[in-house]
Amino acid sequence: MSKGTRVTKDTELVRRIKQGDGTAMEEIVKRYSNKVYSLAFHITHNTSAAEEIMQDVFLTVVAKVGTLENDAYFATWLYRVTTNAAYGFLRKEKKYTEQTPMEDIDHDQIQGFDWSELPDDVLLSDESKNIIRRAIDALPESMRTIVIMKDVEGLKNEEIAEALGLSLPAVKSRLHRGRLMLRDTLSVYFSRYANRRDA
Amino acid sequence: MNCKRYLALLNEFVECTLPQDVQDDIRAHMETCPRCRVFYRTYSLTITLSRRAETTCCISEDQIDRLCCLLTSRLCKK
Repeated sequence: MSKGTRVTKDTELVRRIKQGDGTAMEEIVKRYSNKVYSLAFHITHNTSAAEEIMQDVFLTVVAKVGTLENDAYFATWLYRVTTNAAYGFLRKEKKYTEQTPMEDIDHDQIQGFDWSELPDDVLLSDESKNIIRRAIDALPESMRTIVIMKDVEGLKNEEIAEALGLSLPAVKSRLHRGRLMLRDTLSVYFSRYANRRDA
Repeated sequence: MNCKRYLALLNEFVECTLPQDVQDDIRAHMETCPRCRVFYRTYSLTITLSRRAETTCCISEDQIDRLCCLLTSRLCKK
């Protein structure tokens, strides 16, 4: 979602959808369906749920786009509807419970092992990918959503702030804390290779 | 610049959103602090690995077409 012409085009499409223009609706679906599906999938890890959420999100667009006061915020509104629907699914399935955030990470506890120098076959192994996925899933919702939107989906901080109704400093703070927690998990996991190297 | 302040600003340092003089202070701090150097490398790599750990997923053209049909019909009924 780049700024500039894309914003103008979205605004124009949304205006036409409000007037009942099916062609504009199709264009919006083609533009955003993969983004909506991907975000829903990365939150739920369930393809069927992601498909259902995607459909529900666009049905919500049809039903409620008229209530959108500022058409320029269409994309961020779409992301907000998607994240709400995805977490609604998880809560319904009782697969998600908010966790207590970890204590602030103490710099004294920083481990000295530089695991960034490990070979790619270790860093990118299926096992390490699973560790990261599980660590992201274990983040408190307030951080998890932002980490997924930023580091997985590649949204800008400003877009995330608008979508979630948060201030920019709040987004940056939660993103940082989430990344620190992920880094901490990875440091513990990769420390096994430090021990092997020292042996 | 000390380690605590460095840690608080690392997020913005990675995204290059800090004023130039602060960016320079952080770089200077890392020159003298091996632990913070390692922390920067592992923090940056955490971001990269998060991106790579999650599978890219997309829906089929058929699904998009079906969705478009459904939405267009709903739009017409409004």
